[in-house]
Amino acid sequence: MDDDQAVSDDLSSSDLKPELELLRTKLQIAEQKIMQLELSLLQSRDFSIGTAAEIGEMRVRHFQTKDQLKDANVHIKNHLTHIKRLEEAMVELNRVSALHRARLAELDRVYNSASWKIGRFVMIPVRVLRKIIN
Amino acid sequence: MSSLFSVITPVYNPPQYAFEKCVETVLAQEFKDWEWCLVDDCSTAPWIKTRLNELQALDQRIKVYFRSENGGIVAASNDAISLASGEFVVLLDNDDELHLDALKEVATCIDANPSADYIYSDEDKITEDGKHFDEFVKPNWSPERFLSQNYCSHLSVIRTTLVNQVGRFRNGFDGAQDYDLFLRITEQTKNIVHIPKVLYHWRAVPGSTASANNAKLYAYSAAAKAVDEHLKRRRINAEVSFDEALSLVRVKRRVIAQPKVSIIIPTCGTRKSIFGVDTCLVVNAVESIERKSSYTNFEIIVVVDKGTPQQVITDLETVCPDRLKIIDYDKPFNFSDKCNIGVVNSDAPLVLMLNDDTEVISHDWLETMVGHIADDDVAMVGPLLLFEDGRIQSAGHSNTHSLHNFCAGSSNKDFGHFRMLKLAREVSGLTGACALIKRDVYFEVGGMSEVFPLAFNDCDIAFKFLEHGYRIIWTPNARLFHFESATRPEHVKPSEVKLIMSRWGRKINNDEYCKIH
Repeated sequence: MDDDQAVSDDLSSSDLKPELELLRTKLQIAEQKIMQLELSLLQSRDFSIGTAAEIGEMRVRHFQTKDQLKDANVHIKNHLTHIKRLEEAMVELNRVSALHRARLAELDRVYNSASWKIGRFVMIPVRVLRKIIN
Repeated sequence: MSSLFSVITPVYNPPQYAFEKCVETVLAQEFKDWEWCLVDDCSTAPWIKTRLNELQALDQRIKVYFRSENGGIVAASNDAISLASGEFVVLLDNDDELHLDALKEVATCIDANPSADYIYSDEDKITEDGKHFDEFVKPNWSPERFLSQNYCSHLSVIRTTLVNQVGRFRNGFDGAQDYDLFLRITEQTKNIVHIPKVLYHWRAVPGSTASANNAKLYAYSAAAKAVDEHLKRRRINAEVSFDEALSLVRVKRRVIAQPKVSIIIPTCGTRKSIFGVDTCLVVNAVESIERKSSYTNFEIIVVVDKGTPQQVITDLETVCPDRLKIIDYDKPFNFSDKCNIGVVNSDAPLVLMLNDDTEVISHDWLETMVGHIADDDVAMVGPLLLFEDGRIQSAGHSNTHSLHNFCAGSSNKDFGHFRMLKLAREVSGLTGACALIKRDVYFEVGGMSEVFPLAFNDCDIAFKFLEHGYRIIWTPNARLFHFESATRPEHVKPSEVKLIMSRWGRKINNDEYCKIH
């Protein structure tokens, strides 16, 4: 009976050997597959995290650009106010200049008038006397 | 209505000129919503009582209390806290100066961070004749660094309720009573904010710790005791001592259960002359690991390029017969991909990326790094790397101005800014030449990015860790040689720079932990 058992064990062991080898091969393939999947998982996660980081970076730049734009608008507004002030000053300058020109024209007109010339002629002796006295 | 700030000042025989300067800087604060709690600890100088009474009469915001007996700084400080009705206490020594905008800056910071419980600023020292020196450019909140030095120190502003909750200052910690208080505060809150401006001027008078660290050696003993108790409360098993020469507390974590470490080395079998001898780099690296490491629970995974000489494999199997895995790599060179393949071939909870052009120096390098990575929020730990001639190759990364190895080329004997080369601290990145990483966190962030085949892959993964809320620790207590540039070109491509900037430009030149070049 013991001999029979030994024979039976040998048989079953030799029968299982190819199956065991097959399973080992399958396990190896499965392990390879798992590793490939893990690598794909790493790549996918890196892609999503990297993309999120890029979006974050764009957001920061967007806000920076918005801030710059805001600063630029303030700058432009300040410039426009300054230009407006300059324009107002210019208008005032023109007005004063026109007034000045009008007064000069009036003076010219007075100097060229007959009454002014007669007056100057009449006053000659007085001017001569003043020079002698001084 | 109570003030926002209660300035706390224990008074004991300060030099009169220094006290007057201190008074000037408080009274001249731009921000007005404060009260000043002064407690005289039985000073023997007769002018003090008169002056304190004058001050109390001068400004109703000034509260003065005279102790009936000398009780030391802890008792006097606690009495001052008893007088405080402000939302925050501001710690000010009786011979130091506040920046005139100090309280205004802190108030602005609180406005921006309403949940802040503890705020600290940069500081400098000031001589008797008012010259400023030794500006301390501090990092943002760095719990690991804080175990080695009380870098927060001045100016410290703490929520009053929290100070009372932790039991104020404790007896038995004289000289480091503030350090002990801060450690207990940091156990209760994570809302700690750094103001990167010098708001406090620490008077360097003979005998003060500002002028001579040796003058108060007893303070270091108290500091070590404070850290020891703090670690016990956090259930961290560590040996704590203090280094008198460096004025630093030394924390050596005990690694009881040795978690398995997979050391991953990408290689193509390069040879180089090291210390004058023609050497196969990877064989030398593996041999040094085997020969010098006192840590035992590790395996070595070598990812070898196609075309690597068979002799290299044979030599590796000879120097490391029991725990070596060889993984063939037959794709075009991609350091990140090779590391990822190494990691997926590992089943250990910890993976260590190691360049083949390295060599172990300190025998406890692995346990030192494993000790640091035990903290839940630590993702990556790196060692001090030295060039062949002993100069520093990398003391962590710095992103200030540009991405670079901090202090590369400096002498190994340099202490660095406020001894930062001599203590374990948080960093914004580590060189991929040697970095211990938790495997699950490596997977969480997607590992090394294959879009960076050569340069910046280490910077990228570090930024990913930081973005996910993890800390990165650099330690000078694990040391290796890194015979750099033997295996890679020195210059990075503009496209790589563009790529890293497109992902993390906002973090570059904005280093949280290393604000000096």
